[in-house]
Order: sequence, then structure tokens, then C-alpha cells
Amino acid sequence: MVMKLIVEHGRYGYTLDNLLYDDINFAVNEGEILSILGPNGVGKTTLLRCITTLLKWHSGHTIIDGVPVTGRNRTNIWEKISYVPQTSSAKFPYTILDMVLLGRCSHLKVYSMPSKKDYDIAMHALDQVGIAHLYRKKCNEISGGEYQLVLIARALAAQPQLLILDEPESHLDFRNQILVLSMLEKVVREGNLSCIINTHYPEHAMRLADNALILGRGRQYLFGKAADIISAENLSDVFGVKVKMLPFEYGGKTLSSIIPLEVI
Amino acid sequence: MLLSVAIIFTVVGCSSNASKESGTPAVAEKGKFPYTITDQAGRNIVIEKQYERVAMSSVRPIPAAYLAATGSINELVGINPSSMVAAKSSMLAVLAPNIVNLPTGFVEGNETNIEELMKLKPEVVFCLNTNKQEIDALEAVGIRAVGMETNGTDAIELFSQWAKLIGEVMGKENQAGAIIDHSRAVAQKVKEVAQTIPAGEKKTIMFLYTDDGKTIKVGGSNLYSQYWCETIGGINAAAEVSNVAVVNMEQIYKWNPDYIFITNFTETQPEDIYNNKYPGQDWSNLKAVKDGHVYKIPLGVYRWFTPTSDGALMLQWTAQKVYPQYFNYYNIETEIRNHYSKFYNYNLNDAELALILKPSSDAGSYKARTKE
Amino acid sequence: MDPVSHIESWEAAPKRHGIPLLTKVILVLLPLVVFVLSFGLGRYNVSPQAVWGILWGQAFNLPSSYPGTDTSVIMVLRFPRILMCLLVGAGLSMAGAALQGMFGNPLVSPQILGVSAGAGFGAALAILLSGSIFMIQTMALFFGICAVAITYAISRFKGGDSSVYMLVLAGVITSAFFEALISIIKYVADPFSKLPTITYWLLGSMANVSWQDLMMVAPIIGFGIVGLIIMRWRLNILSLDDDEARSLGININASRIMVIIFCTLITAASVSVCGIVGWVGLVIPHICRIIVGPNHKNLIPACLSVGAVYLLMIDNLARSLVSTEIPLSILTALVGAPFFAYLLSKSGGQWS
Repeated sequence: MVMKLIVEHGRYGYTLDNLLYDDINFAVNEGEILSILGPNGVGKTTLLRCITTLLKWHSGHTIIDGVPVTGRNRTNIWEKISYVPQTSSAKFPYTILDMVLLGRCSHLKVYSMPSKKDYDIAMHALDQVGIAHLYRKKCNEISGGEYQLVLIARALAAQPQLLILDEPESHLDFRNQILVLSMLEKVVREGNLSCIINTHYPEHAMRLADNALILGRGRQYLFGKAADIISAENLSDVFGVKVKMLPFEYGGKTLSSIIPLEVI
Repeated sequence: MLLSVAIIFTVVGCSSNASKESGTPAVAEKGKFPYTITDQAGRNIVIEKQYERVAMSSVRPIPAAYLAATGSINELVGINPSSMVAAKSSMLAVLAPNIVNLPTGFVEGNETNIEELMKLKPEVVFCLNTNKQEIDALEAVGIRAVGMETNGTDAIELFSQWAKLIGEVMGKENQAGAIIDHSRAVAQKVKEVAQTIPAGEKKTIMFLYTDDGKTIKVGGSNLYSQYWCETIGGINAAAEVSNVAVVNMEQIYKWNPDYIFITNFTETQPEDIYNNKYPGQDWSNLKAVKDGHVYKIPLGVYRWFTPTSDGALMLQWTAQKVYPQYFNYYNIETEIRNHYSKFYNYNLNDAELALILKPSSDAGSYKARTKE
Repeated sequence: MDPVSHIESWEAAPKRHGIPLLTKVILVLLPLVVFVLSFGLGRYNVSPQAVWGILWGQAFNLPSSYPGTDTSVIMVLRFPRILMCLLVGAGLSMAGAALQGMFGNPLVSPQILGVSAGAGFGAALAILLSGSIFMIQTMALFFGICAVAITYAISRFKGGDSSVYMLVLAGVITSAFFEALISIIKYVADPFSKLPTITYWLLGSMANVSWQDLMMVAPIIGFGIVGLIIMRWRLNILSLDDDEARSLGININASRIMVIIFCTLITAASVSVCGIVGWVGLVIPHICRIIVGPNHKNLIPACLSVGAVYLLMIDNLARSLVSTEIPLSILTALVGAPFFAYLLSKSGGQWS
């Protein structure tokens, strides 16, 4: 399943005299991973919400497979897109399996219940993130990191064409961060999904992403190939940090170690 | 007619002589103010003049009792709104037509607004004996408060105490004494006859207090229902519950009373019972219904279920309904006419008499009577 | 999609939900058992043979050899009342669970949107105006629904998105408003006649419930119950944060409106016919969460069963324990409050 998503002339701000983006343009093609970087408060999460029409662009469009998303077809968007939020508060202690099963909702009719097939898909998604053996546990009995994996599994259970994640590595330890990244890479490449991922870590962006979108203050932004956009000058401009980038070869790819030196 | 009146006067005269020995108000003759009496709150009250402005703030049957005890309502300047509603749907408005013009606004719910009451300039107020705040507030502004009792099962005695107290306050002891003595005498006679009824012939009686289709309330023990039943030689079917009690139909099946009397606190009429008007209730299996022994209690100067000046008539009417073969020495219609003629100075016409004996549902719906 | 064969417990367990079969059997059988036993309870003594014979005879239109009193007790007095208890108990419990799920708050009861206050006002007004039983029931139903409509409208003020927070606040406002109106009515009502009637009505009672009453409210409550059963799995999603729920593909505004409609119909219809029965909508979902867990797919049907049984048993007490009828709210509170305290002590506030 493939999908092409374009954002054209996007314009949004919580108040009209304080816009976050004005005429922002970027695209995610079939099978591509786009990484979004930027300092705190610049509007990374808000951008994800605008893309997915949880918030409405003041002007400009989200275009999916050539069709602009309007008010009428807004709910259909979730048959193709899955969203992993930054945080989630579980009000009731559902089991992990029950929580992941909720991801099947966009494929079920209003009056139907999940079937055995849906349960199998949910278990498979849990297996993909590596916590299938915990399926009986309650959501309040696992660690924050495991819960993050549950949310990713839930997003995968929906069998999306585009997977959107908001800072998925935030609650994970050193090992789990790599695990998630590798798992995402594998899942996305194998399933030929597109992916948009907000991240605080430029290194992860370099490692994972095809394209990068860097949001700067004052409605500035940079969009292009990750290898081009994520440079020492751009990082120091946007983040106000002097960095040293050390590229090296590993596994047939050029990775970069990005060391922050001092605050500018 | 004249002969029977003469006989009644003699009988009353004799019995009042008798009761003078048994404790009619020990009061100095009229004109000797001030004198002291005791009200039903146990307070000693000084009566210092002939009162001309009287109000009643609670205890619904009191205005009717006042009429019987003093002979008129000329002194009344205000009554309780519930008493007003009752007056308009009973014989009271017919016997004392001016009563419907009396103000009632000084009572809000259960509270007496003393300032509003003061605008009517009452000199004495009959109120509830347990309402200490009201009594103190009235006395504090110089209004004589007289506490009236509502507890008790003996309706004749309770009415008698009311009449006695009203008579003492208003200096109408003789008038009050007349109806007191008559009521007690009738009660005594009924009791004596009731004692001759053998145990095997005793009937069970249920007083249906209200039935609005959703809730059924009956008169249990510790209420006037107990008194009416026992005095006429009957058994209160609802004795195992007390006061006004909410019961369900099954409980009534269990009691299966021989007689059912419907009060005037509800709109329900005997036809409603015979015809099973209320969907969730089935009265048809009861003995009283099968035997045709469901009756609406007559409505005279006030609802006869409570202590009233018509209490003697209530005893006579009920007794005759339940044990006609034992209580066959009087004609109830004649008794009613004579009672009203003697004690209210009113000659009932046929229509009025019929309305007393077969009252409409007005008193139960708390609407004013549409007739007269 | 391959099933996950390396997880043995997954392959071995045919019941993915995790509710033991025994629990399911009990939840299905218990209402039936209590239903049947309830026919034998009451102030008037009817022997079990007579109960059975009368029901059998009525079912197959056989001539009756039982006394009219016994037949009336079973068919007119107990049968409709028992059915109404099952219906209202089930409905209120399910509505309570659904609203707790929707608000994501286990302390919510069906009264939260103002339906009981509105219905109580409608009934009190009708009693004050000396209306018939039919008028009382209709006005209770009407004002109950009106109150929720007002709550919903308030929650959408200032372009509000009827988020649950706004709904709760609006519900508080509406309830307070109608409660104030009820107080006014109580104040002006005749203290000897109307006021006791209003007070008793507000305390809730199943007394004198008739087949007519059932005909009137069963379709309404039934509609609400069926609606909640259909929506039960989606309640899990509604219990999440707004954006999270939207991202899973449901229209949260439409879903919330549906839940509110179903719960309001159930509660308003229940109140119209038997007054305000408290504690059922609050306590039963908690009990059921302990038995079957918080997944609404199982919770809603469990509430149907347990709620029906609970109210039926309570009403059996109300009509049989002593000679007088005990108002329902008093019993549900006397039983419910200590039980709730016990639940709290066991769970320590954790709703597992």
C-alpha cells in the first residue's frame, strides 16, 4: 500500500497574529521517511496535528494521493494514517491486547465488533514491536517505555499507509531507542509504509530518514534530503548550538555522530 | 320535629349537668377578666379581655371546630391556607360564607410570617403546640398564642379538648360545652352497643387514606383510624402499621378487610375501586369489594376522618355501615339534619344533605367546590 | 497475517478476552434464577406450586384453577414490577458504565448531565398541577430530555467542542438549576397533600407498576440498551484523550452524542416511571469492573446482568421486608454506600 502526502501553502497559528507557519510546503512520497526537527515550542506537534486535520489549516491544504483533505472526507483519513501521540493517559487499566485492538477501529464498521482476524492482527503488531508475550498485562502494570511500544503496536495494528510518530524515543532507554528505530526502519521498509517522525535527536533523523524538515523560529523552515538539510550550520542556526559532525561508514551506510560543543 | 328538638335539648341539658360534675371548664363566670387557663402546650395563659380578632396559623380542622364551639366566625381575621382550601370544598363555606374572604397569605408552607400576620392585627392566634418558635415570637409582639394538640387517636376527645380550649379563650364555654357533651354522649352510647357484638361477628376495617394510582396510603394504628374502628366494635385491618403508612396491594390482600372507607384526602371514589381504575392495582379480589362494602367517608364541616365537630355523626354513620343490625336505633339522615340545625343553626336542604353523604372528589383534589 | 504461534498461551486460549467461562455462565444464569425466585416473594403468600401453575397457565392460555387473588398477585402485582426492575436496573447500570467510560471518570453517575434533576422537576410540576399519572410520567420524560439538551447546548457555548470537561460543567449548571426549581415547587406546594406526594415520588418506588407502564417505557429503555450494546467496544476509544480517540478513526462528537442520547433515554424513561433511583448507575459498574475488567466490550453486558439482578433484589426487599413499602433510593443508598466503601477499601482506589 502506498501513499503520497503533500502539504501545500500551509498556514496556522493558535492566534492569527502569532503564526507558527506561513506558506509551509513539503511532501512525503511513497515509502519515504520524513523526520521533523526543531527546538521546543516551535510547533512540531502542532504541525502533525495540522497535517492530520486534527487542527484545521487557516489556509493551504493537506493533499493525500492527489486529493485535498476537506471537511467531508476527514474521517476517512484514519483508514490510511496512524498516529502515535507523545503521551497518552490511560484512564482505565485495559490490557495491552485490548489497547492494541483499538487500532483496528478505523477498519471496522460502526456497528461491528472486532473479530478473530482483528485479534490476530493485533497480536502480530505486538509481536512486531517485541512485546507479544505481555499481551495479558494491564497498561498500568508496565513501564513507560513498554507503554510507548504498546502505542506503536496499536498504530501498526491499523495497517496504515502512513505512520506518524511524535517523539517516540522520548521515554525509552538507550537500548530501546535503537530497538524502536530499527523496528521502525524494518517495518516501514518491509511494509513500504511512509513515515513521519518528530524527533529531538538529529542523529536518529540522519540514521532513519530520507528527508528532513527543520522548523526554525519565526516561521522559518528547511526541507530537503536528510543528508543535505542536517548540517552543522543549519543545526547551529536553528538550535543555537555549536556542533561537530563526524561521519563514518557502518553497514553500507554513511552515519554521522553529532556532538554538541557549546551553546551559542 | 318540635318534640324531637325538645327531647334533644332535655337530653343535652341533662348530660351537660352530668358533665359539669365530671369536669367542664372550671372558669369564673363571664365578665370576670382576667382569668387563667392552660393551653395544650402546657402553658398558663391569661385571658384579659373578650377577643374580637382571632387568627389560626396551623392545624387544619380548627376553623371548623371554632365555628362549632363559638357559633360564628365573626372574629376570624385569618386562617391557614390549607384550612381555606378545605373550607371551600366542604360545608364550612356554606355554613359560614364569609370565611372564603379571609386572608391566608401569612402562612408560607409550614412557616408563619409573623410580620404579615401582624398586619391583620390579631389579638389571639391558635397555633401548633409544639411550635415553640412561633409561640414565643407571637407572645413577643404582644399576640396571645394558644397551642393546639394534634397527637392522639381518640378523635372525640381531641375535638373536645379543642372545643373546650376555644370556648375558654373566647368565653363561650356553654356553647362549646354543648357540642362536647353531645359528642361524648354519642361516643359512649356507641361503645356500649359495640360491646354487645360477639367476637365472632367482629369486622375488619381499612381506612384508605389516599390512593393516587401510584402510592397507596392507609390509616394504621396510632391514628384516628384506630379510634373509629375500635369504638364501633371493629378491628383495624391496618393495625400492624402505624400512622399514615405506604403499603402495597399485596399487603392489602393479606389483610383482606371486610370494609374499606375512603377518606376525603384523596380523589378516589368507590367506583374507582370497584372498576379498578388504576392499572397497577387489582382490588377485585378483596372481600370488601366483592361484598360491595367500599364507601367514601361523608364530608361535613371538615373531613370526618379527623377530629371534627361532626365526630358524633362519623361514629353513627360508620357504625351503621358496618353493623347495621346493631346500630338500628337511628336514621343517619335525620341525625345529620338535627346536628346541623342544633349546632350550626343551619337547616340542610336535600341537595346539601346528599352532598355530605356522597361527597365529590373536590376535597381530595384540593379544589374549591363548584356548586353553591 | 500469521497468528503468533510462538506465544503458547495465545494459541492455547480460545477465549481471547480472558473472561472465564464460569463467570459468563453465572452472569447469564443469575438474572434468570433471581427472576424466577422473585415470583415467590411478597407480603401475600403464594405457594411455589401456585406460582408455577399460574405462570404456566397464563403462558398457554389454560383455564385457571387458582384463586383470583393468587392470579392477581402474580400477573398484575409481581410480574410487571419484576420486569420493570430488570429493565431499569440493567438500563441504569449500563448507562452509568457508558458515561463513566465516556468521561473517563469512574465517579460519574447517570445524573451527571442533569437528566434526573430535569425529570424530577417535570414530575414535581405535574404533581403540583394535580396532573394524572400519565401527565406526571410524560412531563418527567420530557423535562429529563430537555435538561440534557440544555446541558449539551451550554457545553457548545463560545464554540466549545463539547469536550467532556465542558459537558460536566454544563451538567452541574443544569442540575443545579432544576434542583432549585424543584425546591421552589416544594416550597409552594401544600405541605399536607402535594409535598408528601412529591417527596415520596422523588425517593423512587416500583409500587403499582403496571403492564401499561411497561408498554410505555420498555421500547425507550430497550432502544437505549441495544444502542449501548452496539457501541460498547467503541466506549474504550471514547475513554481516551480527544486527539487520540480521533486518530483511531471515530467521530468523537457523533459518538458522544449517541452515547448521551442512549443514556438519557434510559434514565429519563426510568425516572418517569419509578422516580429517582440513585446509586445503581454508580456502584454496579464498579462491581462489574472487578468481575470482568474495564474493557467495555465485557463491562456493558456484565452491567446488564448484574444491574438487573441488583435492582430486582433490592425491590424484593422494598416490597416484602416489612408491611410498609420502603422507598427505593433509601434502600439502594443503605446497601450501596457501605458496599462502595468496602470496594474502596479493597481496591485502594485502583479501578482494576
